[in-house]
Amino acid sequence: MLDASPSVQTPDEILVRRARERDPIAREELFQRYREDAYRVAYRLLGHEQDALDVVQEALIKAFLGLGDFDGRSGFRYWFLRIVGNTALDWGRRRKRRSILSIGNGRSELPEPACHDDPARRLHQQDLRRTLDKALDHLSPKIRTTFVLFAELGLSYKEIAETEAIPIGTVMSRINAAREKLQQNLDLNRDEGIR
Amino acid sequence: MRCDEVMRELNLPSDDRDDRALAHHLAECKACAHWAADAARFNRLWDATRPVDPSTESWDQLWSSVTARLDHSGPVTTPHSRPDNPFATVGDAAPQHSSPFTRSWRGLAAIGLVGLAQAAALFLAVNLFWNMTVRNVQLPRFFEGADVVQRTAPSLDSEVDVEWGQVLLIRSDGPKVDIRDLALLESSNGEDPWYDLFNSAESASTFLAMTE
Repeated sequence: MLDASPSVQTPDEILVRRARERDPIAREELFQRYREDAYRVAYRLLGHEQDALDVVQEALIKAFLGLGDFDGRSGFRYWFLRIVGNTALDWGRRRKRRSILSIGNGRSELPEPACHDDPARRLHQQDLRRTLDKALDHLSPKIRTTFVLFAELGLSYKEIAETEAIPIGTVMSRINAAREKLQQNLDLNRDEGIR
Repeated sequence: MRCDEVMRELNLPSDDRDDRALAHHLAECKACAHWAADAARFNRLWDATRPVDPSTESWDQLWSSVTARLDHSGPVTTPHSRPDNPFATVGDAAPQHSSPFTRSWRGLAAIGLVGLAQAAALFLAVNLFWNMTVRNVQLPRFFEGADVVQRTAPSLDSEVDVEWGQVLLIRSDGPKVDIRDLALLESSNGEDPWYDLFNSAESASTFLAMTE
């Protein structure tokens, strides 16, 4: 019979220390741990799968090159998510500039479809995403980031405060404002697909 | 529960939520019930549009790009030596080989920067001198003996960051500045928070309400 001892996860602090010493296994472990969180945040901020992956890549490089700046006061996860958020917003600004420059060249800037087998379902999903992305675009970058951390990752107010280095009251204000504005901007009664 | 408490609970769920009181209010109040239905629809919309996880191949490809870039870069920065700023605008993290043209351009840019800094310092010095001279100018004769009233606006020593959706009351009491977010007003000591707020505003010598 196999020994069923629970596997103990190496704490982030130890992995960070090893990663500073350029240990590739520690780096990869940190990547495996937080890549999905990073991707989900970037995706919600940009509404585009490939852009989100590019942002995760850029944020990982920034984080590993800048590990010396990480003072350990907040967890690595929160510090990394802050880099992801900033990188995504920066990326979004540059993309906006690019799309202004490329108006008229006939290329669509619409998000790529998610992988679904059913074309009708895929179209419907695309519609919903476009609707939500449009509403999210109306929020300021700060409010959008706070709300995404709350709604997508389910972080607590305290965790968001740590991630963004802002007071908890500000986190709550931003979430409240985001929720009100999103619900006002989305015509939730009209869209039958949401019921 | 009051309507504002219900809305707040729907937007900012708390751990100690009184579900019975909430359900009771929603059954009685049409406006709040409508808001709650919208909130539920919004949650479903959010869930329906969750991103599909990238494939293993995509992650593998991404990780090999990251390791390739890290391998080309110098040693990891420490708090005492930071050649690269990880928070800088996205660009190539690894140092690139620069052409002679780039190097000469950088040299010119550096000279330009030094020149600009000197011009700025000169401008500052002239400005300071000008301000000091103007302040020392005597008032014209007809002002002497007149009842000159000086009104000073309340000043804040620190910057106040006003978020969208916040309604702040900035109240100064001498050198002390008290800032309250009215959107998150909570009762203290069982008092009505608005009663407490108006008392606070009444007792202040100067106050300024701001919103964004």
